[in-house]
Amino acid sequence: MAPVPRVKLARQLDSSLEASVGQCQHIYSVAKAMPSVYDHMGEWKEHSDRQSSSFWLQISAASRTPGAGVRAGEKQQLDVLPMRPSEVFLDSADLWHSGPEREGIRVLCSLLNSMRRHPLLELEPNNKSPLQTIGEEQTQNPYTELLVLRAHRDIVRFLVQLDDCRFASAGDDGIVVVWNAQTGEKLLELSGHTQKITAIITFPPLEACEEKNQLILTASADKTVIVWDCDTGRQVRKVSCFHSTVKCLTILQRLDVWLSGGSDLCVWNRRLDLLCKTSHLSDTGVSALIEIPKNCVVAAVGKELIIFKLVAPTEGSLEWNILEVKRLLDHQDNILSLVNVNDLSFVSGSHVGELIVWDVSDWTVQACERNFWTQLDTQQEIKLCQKPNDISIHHFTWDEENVFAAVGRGLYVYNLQMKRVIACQKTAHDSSVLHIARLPNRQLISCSEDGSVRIWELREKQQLAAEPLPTGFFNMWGFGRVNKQASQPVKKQQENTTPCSLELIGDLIGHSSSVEMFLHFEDHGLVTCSADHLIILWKNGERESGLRSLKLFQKLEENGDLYLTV
Amino acid sequence: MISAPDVVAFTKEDEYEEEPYNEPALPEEYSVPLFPFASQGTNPWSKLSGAKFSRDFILISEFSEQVGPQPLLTIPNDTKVFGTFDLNYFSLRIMSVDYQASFVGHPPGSAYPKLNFVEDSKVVLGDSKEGAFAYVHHLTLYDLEARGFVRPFCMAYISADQHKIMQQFQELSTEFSKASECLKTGNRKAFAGELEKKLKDLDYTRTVLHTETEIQKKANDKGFYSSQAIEKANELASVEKSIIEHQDLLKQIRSYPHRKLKGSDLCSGEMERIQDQPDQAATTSNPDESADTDLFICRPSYTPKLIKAKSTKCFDKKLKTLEELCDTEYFTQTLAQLSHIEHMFRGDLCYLLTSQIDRALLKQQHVTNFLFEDLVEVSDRVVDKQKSAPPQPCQDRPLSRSLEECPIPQVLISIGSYKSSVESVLIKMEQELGDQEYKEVEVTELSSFDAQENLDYLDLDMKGSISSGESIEVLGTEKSTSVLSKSDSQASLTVPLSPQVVRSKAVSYRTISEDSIEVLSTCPSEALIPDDFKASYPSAINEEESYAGDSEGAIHFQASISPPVLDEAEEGSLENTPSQTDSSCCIGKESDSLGLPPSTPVHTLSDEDGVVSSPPQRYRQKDQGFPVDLAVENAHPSQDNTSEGFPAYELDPSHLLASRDVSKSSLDNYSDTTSYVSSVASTSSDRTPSSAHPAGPSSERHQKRAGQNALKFIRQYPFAHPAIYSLLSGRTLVVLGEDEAIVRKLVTALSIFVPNYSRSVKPVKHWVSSPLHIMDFQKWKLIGLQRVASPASAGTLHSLSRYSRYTSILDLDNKTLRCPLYRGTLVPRLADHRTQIKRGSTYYLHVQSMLTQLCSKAFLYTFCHHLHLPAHDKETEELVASRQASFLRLNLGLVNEDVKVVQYLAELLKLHYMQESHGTSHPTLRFDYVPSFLYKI
Repeated sequence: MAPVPRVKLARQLDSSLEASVGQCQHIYSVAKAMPSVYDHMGEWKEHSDRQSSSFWLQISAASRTPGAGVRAGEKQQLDVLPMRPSEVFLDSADLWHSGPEREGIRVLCSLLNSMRRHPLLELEPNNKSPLQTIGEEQTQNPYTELLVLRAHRDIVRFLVQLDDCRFASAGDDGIVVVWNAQTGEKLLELSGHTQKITAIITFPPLEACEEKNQLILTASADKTVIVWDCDTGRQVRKVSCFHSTVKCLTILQRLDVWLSGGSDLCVWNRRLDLLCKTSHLSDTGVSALIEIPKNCVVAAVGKELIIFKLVAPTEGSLEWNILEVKRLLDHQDNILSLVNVNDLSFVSGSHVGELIVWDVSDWTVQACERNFWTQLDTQQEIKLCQKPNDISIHHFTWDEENVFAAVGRGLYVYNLQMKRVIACQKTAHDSSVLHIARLPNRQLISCSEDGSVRIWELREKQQLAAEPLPTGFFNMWGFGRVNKQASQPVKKQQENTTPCSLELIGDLIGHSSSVEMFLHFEDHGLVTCSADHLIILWKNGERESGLRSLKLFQKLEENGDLYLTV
Repeated sequence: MISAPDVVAFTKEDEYEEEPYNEPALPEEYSVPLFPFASQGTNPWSKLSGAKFSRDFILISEFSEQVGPQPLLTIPNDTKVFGTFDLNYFSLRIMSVDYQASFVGHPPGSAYPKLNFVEDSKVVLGDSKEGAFAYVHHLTLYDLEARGFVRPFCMAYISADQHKIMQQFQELSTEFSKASECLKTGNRKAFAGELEKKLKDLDYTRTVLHTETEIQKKANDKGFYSSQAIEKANELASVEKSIIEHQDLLKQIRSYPHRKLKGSDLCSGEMERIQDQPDQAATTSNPDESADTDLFICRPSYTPKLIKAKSTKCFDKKLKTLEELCDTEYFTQTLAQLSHIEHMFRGDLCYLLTSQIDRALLKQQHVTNFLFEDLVEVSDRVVDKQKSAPPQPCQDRPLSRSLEECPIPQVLISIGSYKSSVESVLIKMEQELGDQEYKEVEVTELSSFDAQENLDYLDLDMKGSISSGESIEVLGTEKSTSVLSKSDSQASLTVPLSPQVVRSKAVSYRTISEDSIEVLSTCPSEALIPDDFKASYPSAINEEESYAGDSEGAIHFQASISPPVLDEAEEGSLENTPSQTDSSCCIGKESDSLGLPPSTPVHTLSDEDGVVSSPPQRYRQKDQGFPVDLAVENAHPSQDNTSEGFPAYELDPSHLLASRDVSKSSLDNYSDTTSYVSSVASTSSDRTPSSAHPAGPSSERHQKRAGQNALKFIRQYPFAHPAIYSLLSGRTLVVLGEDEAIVRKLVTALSIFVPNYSRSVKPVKHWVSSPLHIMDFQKWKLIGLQRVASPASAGTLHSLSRYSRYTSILDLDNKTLRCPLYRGTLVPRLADHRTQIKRGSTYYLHVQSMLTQLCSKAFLYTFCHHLHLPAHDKETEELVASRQASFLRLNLGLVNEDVKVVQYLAELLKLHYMQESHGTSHPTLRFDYVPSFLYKI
């Protein structure tokens, strides 16, 4: 079967394109000039307010994939419809094409790509794929058994481990489901939220506390936070006095308090009493929150990192208080990820690919890496614009010496000692990498919007192969968002090669839509959750087989069948 | 899996011994008995007599008080079935053998009429003139207007095969008891209602009479009564008496003893269920009817009538029909049950027996039988029945342990016990056991043989001699041959009990028994006992005395127990019988006469018309390349053993080579070719009933068709092996094609190779047109996928290529297969494209037996303790794994990819075993990261 050339359109519905009426008109005229696309276009329509206009673009309705990833109510046509002068709504799923139509679509996609914020439309080059692939033979891939778990009715975004054999999942349908990681059995379904869940965290029980049950805190877009008892499924408490959606939750185990980050930062105790709160920080709200020593927390608010100090009640004052200590303004774009790496430093990553390592004690910049993008884009024949999303840092993971960053579609390993990238995989996935995690045996797992999960191994490079210099090719299209990196000086990489490499040792194909997150259990394998509403439990088949045998003989013994003589 | 007589042949064949390891001998309880009459020189499907009806049917007759015995209805209700068979005459016969129809009326000591709750009587009778043998089930229904309030009825299962009736007696009895119980329950209800109506009438009459008397009294104050008044008073008194009588009757009918249901009968459990079932049905359908007693009281619609003093019993009065006697609902239910019976016992006895044994065996293998079997509920029921209603008490049976553990011998014994020539059956069994302990076993068998059967048998002897005026004989043999009596006495000598004791017991049993089970045969013609029948006896006895356990002896002896008619064909063919058995099994295994009725009419008709004679038959056999002596054998003068073994349509070369069209409309094709060969096109279309009942034979037809298409697939595609390997190893096979019919056909065909997860679901999806999803691979192991010409299929293809690691893709349009490499030896044996097997169901059975073998390997592998558990704490996983690998390779003789098949089956077994207690567990999708290859024709 010949590989079908494909044009991938937006995965998520309701994604917006920023486009002026003028830009929209430009696309229209380009599209109209191409006969292969022309047949599938509607007329240019000026709306009554003269501020917006629209045309429809149908990339062959018949070529839409019926089923996979397409939801009910999907239109039969691709609407490029400026709802507001500056926005174009795109409503589509994967499109598959071949022949002359494809060329036209490709150009259109480039046009659309060039002006949107997120890489909704992507073009996978037909002839030459930069994506590293692995064949069907994956001897090192231990996951040879899978179990599809189905309970959610919308995108599953969060997975959280409760204990050795349980985990909870939550997503846009507002429910939390507790699962048994061994059997895949659905243990509990916690429903209480009316809108999608935006954050979830477990609250481990205190040793001294009489309540031994483990708690889960969930925050939702309905502006509530609910505390659940994940052993009984009971809703313990509910807070609904928030002014905005809580986007992140963190727990300060030491003080036995938890913090919620929305448009402001609130401090709560275990019984859900509001201890103190900050003033209004920003409309967009706190996007990430971590704890650092000396009773401080770091909140990522837009481009800024704000350090707060928590004042616990002392003999002098019985009041809790939270004070803003410092604002760090080194990032040039929105901060997407923020993690504690070790006792000495924490790392933040921004939308334009800045990775900054901070000192936890004096909050100064230890190291900064801004040139991920320079390693991208070598000699691709189709030079799309350097999309900021290709370098936005979605997620971090770390070990003692390295920080692993999911940068756009690629994976980077940044060594804290050497202060440089020691290994990278520029196109680790077809699409943005959403979550990464490190396994003990120098392995790395990544999941992506392209629906796949890949397993990598960090290896020392034997031979240093020369890599071509990046050719910095930005802003091909003169309109649309002006990318930040255009103003950055294109630094030459100190060294052309990296000492290590990330080798693909296996991939897990199962989800039909973007894999949002995963969770690795030491004993039970890997759990992935996805926008296709499914959770998949990946297991080591051999190991499971052995376990089943053990169970079998256990049961035989219980039934007394083992010693039956015939 | 072992579901046809031909498997008998397989157990005998030597080529199956060529296993890489030595198979231990089959445990006794698993051995399938040879067809007992195989030595007759006929194939097992030959007809026994010139019966005038084409196939078995059920007749319901009534002994009408007006016109005498009369047939009421037949099931199936089709004149073609019973043909020229004289129903009236046969009704007379079957109604005349009811000894027990006790009269209901005024018993001597009682003032009021007493209802007697008579048990049904079950009788077997034969009428050799008509060529008919029948299981007759007598029952009495109550009718207020009938003489003595009873109406005798009987249901008869009529078959041309005496042995079928005999050997299936237990099952027939159980099934008919259900039907009877259903009728009687409905009847009691209707009777109670009728009584209530009558009581109301009487009550009303009494009131009217009373007022009339009062009026007369008032009008007449002369102080003396007129004759009119006296008449009225008498009338009133009789009405009063009648009321009391009827009230008493009502009380009796309502107090129908429930212990009767529980005790004494063989299948009380089922009966109760049946009993309850209609009640529930009535309750749900009409809440007013929840209590029988309220039934008519609650209905205000009934207006009482005045009853004349004169008796209502007049001969010109129309008697109630059976449907009126019973509630309509119960009546229809009974009819359904009867047609179920008809369906259940359709086909050849040999087939019935083997399938019973087969099911019983399968039932035992509860750990593995879910994998490749499609156990239907019916079979469970049958086996349950056999278990729940053991015909004999087991306590003093030496073999009771093994018997209790496995129902097979029970089946045999129950079968044997209802044969009239009991001892021969026993000996046949011993030959099955066939080892050194022959004598010993014989003794134990005989002694273990339940008293009841012997008693009944002996009881019968007496019966026979008593009523021999009507020349009722036990198989008609006792009188004619002294040899038999000799063997009889011999047999009874082996029984430790003395005949005297037995006999006295018999009497006592007889008196306490409420349902008498009697085996009779009316055999008026003396010419039916042929000379060679006699002649064969001495040899039989010799065999018994010298106890030569070899198979030839067995067959010799079996010859003696076979029906006389068959013996005609037996002459000189004894030496050839083993081969004959084999070949007939191999060739004829497929024969539709097993499960499908259609061939039966053909034979009957051809017998009558003499259209089919031996030459074409011989031709056919040569065609198939079978030994000539077989043809000679079959050309023996017996008029019956003609075309049975070879369903004609199977031999039609066009059929074998036929492509897709055949199976699309296979049924029609079959009937066409059948009629073509038998040259009785006009009458061979009697297959409508079977299509009406999709449960039984249709599944066989399905199997056959699947087998045939699978065979075709194997011949047509050189890459059939890897495809089948994919299925066996749990890798989903996607059959991709444009034409739905072709895809469906192939999916159905290949589904015989798909292991099931559990009993309920077959992981096969015949036709999908939407793109596949990961869930589909978890759920389905064989998928028919639509290829759409439009670009929309791109999505489908994309998802296929995306999930290619979980699937093997068979592209029917391009004739390609993309799947992993297979280098094992298992599948080539399972699916040899040069196989000599030509028939669908033969192939199906071949597959099933191979898969059974595979299952047993998987079972061994799964449950071998030392393979999976570390011997000690320090043992590494690698060691355990290597032990497993060497076991699979050396002990189970598996090479290369075959290992994966067994491992996959083992996983399924484990999951299934665990699930049994844990409720629902999800099936997991197991896969390997192995490269796939593209195969082309």
